[in-house]
Amino acid sequence: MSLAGGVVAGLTSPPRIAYDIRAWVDVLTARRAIRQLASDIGFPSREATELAIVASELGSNILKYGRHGTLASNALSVTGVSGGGIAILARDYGPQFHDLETALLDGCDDRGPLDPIQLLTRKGIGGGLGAVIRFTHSFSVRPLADGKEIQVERFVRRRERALA
Amino acid sequence: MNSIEMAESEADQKILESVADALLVLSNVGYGDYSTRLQLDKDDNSPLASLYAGINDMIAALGTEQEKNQQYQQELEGKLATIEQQRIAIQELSTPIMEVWDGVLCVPVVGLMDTARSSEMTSALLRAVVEKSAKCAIIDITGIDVMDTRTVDHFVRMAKAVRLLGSECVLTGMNPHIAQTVVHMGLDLSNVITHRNLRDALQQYVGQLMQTDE
Repeated sequence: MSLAGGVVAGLTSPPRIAYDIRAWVDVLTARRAIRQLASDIGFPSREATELAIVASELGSNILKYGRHGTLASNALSVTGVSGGGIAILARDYGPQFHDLETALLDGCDDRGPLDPIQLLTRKGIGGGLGAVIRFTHSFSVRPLADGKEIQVERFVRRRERALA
Repeated sequence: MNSIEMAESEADQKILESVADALLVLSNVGYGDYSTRLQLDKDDNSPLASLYAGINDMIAALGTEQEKNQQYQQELEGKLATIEQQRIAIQELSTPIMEVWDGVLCVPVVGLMDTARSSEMTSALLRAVVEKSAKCAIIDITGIDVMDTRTVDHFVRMAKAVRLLGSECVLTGMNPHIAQTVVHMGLDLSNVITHRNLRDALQQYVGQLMQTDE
């Protein structure tokens, strides 16, 4: 796996992209690439934008709480058909969630509700992870020795199969 | 043929071969290969030796120049890529707040709207409303396809805050999808004025001000 950015293509594995996140511009590059990947997989334009927002929220959380990390994404196959969905992985080298359930609530970080006055001064409104779970179908967090990895997945809504 | 003539034709032959060698190496240089060098027999003391040495020196010099050039070009390309990335970053991140008329602020929003950007926008707008003592702030979201419910909620709060500062907040260019989100969330939009597009809003507010000016 390359962390330098760009497509890591194999003959058998589905396309996978990975970006090192150290500054805002990295988040922008990564979210643009993830939007493109989502579009290539077959998500309609609005859903691809929603996935770009997911990438953006996860990426800015890496910078805000984890300081640095990686944003990666790959196509998921459903019943053997490649391109049935997308997975986005956000790995950071920051602390674990103090309280994940609270962190997922709007207007909160992982320690509780944010002070309304602070909302104007800090870079965020405490709704990032809320947006992430609203725009995806699955969400999981894997604690690691030196950080954590968040994985989200979303599947392309397929048209009903025409009956022969 | 006597022995002297034989020796002369042999020397001619050798010169011809040497010239052919030189041409071959030079054509390599023409194709960008600076690694080949001309070689003579060690015991050859003919004037060709110094010519060869000259050509070799020239090729070496060309090679280093070319290397330097490539390095410069790579550096330049790297810098151009950075500039391009920064340009896109500026475009995607910044939300210009323009004073289109005395006391009328206009905020065209394009690109991706995430929570970080919406909070940055709020603080910038509230500051601008106070600084310019704006009578109204028009926020145009024609360029936004998707907003998360929480971000929409934040937008409405921002509008209320602008209202509290004594100016009107106008939202224009809301797309049907976002309108649905607003309704779905049951948000109270009584403090927010909406217009179909930026043009309508500008016409009304700037028009009003122009009339009072006259």
